[in-house]
Amino acid sequence: MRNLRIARGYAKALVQSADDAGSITDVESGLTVLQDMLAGSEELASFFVDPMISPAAKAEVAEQVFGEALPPLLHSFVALLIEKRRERELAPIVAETRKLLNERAGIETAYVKSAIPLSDAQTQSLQTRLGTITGNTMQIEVEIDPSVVGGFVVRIQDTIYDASVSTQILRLQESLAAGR
Amino acid sequence: MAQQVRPDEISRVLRQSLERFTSEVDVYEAGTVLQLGDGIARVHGLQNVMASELLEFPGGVLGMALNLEEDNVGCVLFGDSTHVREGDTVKRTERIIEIPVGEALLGRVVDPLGRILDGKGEASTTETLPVERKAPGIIDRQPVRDPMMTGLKIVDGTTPVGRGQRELIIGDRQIGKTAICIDAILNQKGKDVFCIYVAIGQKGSTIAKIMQVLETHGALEYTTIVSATASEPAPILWIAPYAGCTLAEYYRDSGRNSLVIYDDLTKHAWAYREMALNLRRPAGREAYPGDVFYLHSRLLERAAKMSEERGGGSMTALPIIETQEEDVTTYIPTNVWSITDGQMIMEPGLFYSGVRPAMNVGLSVSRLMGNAQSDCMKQICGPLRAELARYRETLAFAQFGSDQLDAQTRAQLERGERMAELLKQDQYEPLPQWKQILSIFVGRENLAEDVEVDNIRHFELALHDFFGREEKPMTERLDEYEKLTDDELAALKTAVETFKESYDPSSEAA
Repeated sequence: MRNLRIARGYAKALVQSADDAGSITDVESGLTVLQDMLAGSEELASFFVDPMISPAAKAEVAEQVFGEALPPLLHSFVALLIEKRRERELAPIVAETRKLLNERAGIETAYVKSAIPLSDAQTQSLQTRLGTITGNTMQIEVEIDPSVVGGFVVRIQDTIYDASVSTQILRLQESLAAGR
Repeated sequence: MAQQVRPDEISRVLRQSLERFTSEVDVYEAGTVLQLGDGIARVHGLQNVMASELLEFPGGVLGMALNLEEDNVGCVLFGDSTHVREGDTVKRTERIIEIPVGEALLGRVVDPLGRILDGKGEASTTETLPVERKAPGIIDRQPVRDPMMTGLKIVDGTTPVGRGQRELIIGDRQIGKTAICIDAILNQKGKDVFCIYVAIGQKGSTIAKIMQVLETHGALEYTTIVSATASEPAPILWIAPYAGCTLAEYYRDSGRNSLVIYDDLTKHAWAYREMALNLRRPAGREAYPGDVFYLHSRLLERAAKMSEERGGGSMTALPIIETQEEDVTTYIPTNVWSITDGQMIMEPGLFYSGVRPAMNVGLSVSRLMGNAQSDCMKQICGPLRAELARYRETLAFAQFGSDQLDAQTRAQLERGERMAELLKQDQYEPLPQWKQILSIFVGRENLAEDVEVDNIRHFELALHDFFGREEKPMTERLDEYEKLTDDELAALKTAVETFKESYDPSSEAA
């Protein structure tokens, strides 16, 4: 919970300064690079979270690793995090920044739970349908969960659209028990 | 003969219900449990949740949103939290917490969420009302002036309670606080007052006993018991009085009269303290949260006598506070004391010396006094308080040595002794107004001066018996509201004297 609050503050600041510098797209692509680099090398990730390594050493490595790959704003942002000893919060900050950027662009993520993998056509039609409901461009993230049995469950922010067979069976059970 | 089972009939019924069943997409708002412990859950999400909204946890456990914070919602759980895990989905119900109300709940035992606990089947109620409601405003009220008699001589004579009043009952454990309330409920029989008894943090066996007493005296048919036993989680204890209050308000708002008893608010404050500390709300004096005064003031403010335009109904509240070692100056007693319109103070010293009900007349007050008595009751009981106070004072002095007292003081003591004896009363035996007036009149006029003190209670019973048999018109007159004329007073005195001529102290008690 506390992490979330910190992440939100840093993310807001990053988006704002990117906006001021007119480099939103650069930062956006830079974030992907950063995420990929951290996900790609476990060594690098653990190096940044290791409290035994001094900030100066971390800054030096960051300079060498990110110097070329990242846009200048993002690079200095990472340096700031190291200086403020917040490098451990890097992952939540990146996630939070992405959320803010998506919000700005009117992109929303729908988390779909389905019993079997969805075909491209199914994903496509789900995307369009959810887009008309919410009025936003949808990003679909599918998770396979056999307990759904059939159909799917979609979560967009706090709202849940439950069209799963497991819930239908539960409803049927209730309605038969109530004798209606 | 057992009914024959026809498989084709069963499958037909099943097929019909299957055909009627339509599948729909379930749309709801939800959050996820971040943290759980001590009956408190922190939930992430639930962006649009309302304060005091009911939430549905997995396994049918209900919760209530209390702390709406920037990035999470603090909720209390009204049930067993062992089935709830971190990461579980919490559904919004979009309902503020409410309770079923209505006459169908009379004679029943319910929990604060309206679930039936007495095993006598479902109650058919259709109406529900929110548990937390705003108290009526000034325009909707009228001054309290109708008596709400408890049937206890000492209470109705010295600290009368009116319909719509809040009268605190305060005292140590086991000295008859609940007994007064139960007598008050018993006395409402046939008087169109609906009673709600809210048991907060009590033993299940105590509640069962109270239910049995009410049932044997025929009082359960107009009473609802709201039970939140000590084994329930703190949030259940916390909403119990509000739920009971809502049940009573149903009668108040439909132009009828109700009496609600909160037994007791000390345990209620404890439950709230436990909840508030677990919710990490800042602790104040005695570790109670800052709004513990508001906790009780908003509850007791809901007791009211409604204006004629609003139906003229009433709701009387008798909150109970349990003290430790007679210390009434601690936080919760002083709070509730200042909210209510008077207090009855129960004293262990009186209780153990045989004065029952053990109410201290000198310290107990009702801010309405005569306004909550019928005119004839007021006329007879007017000087009672002062007289008893004088007696207690003299008694304290006389303890230094009574053999040297002058005749006048000794007479005063004897008179007071008889008065005190006449005010004693057995449990579960509330008296009608005429019996109360009669007893107090005898004491006031000192008509029992030649009766031995030990015999006074026998004398009183015989007197009541005699009047019930021989003086029917007089008893009917004494049950009315109007003031007694001089002639009627004289007739009353003569009737008592007539009785005394035939009184035999050795006779069997009536």
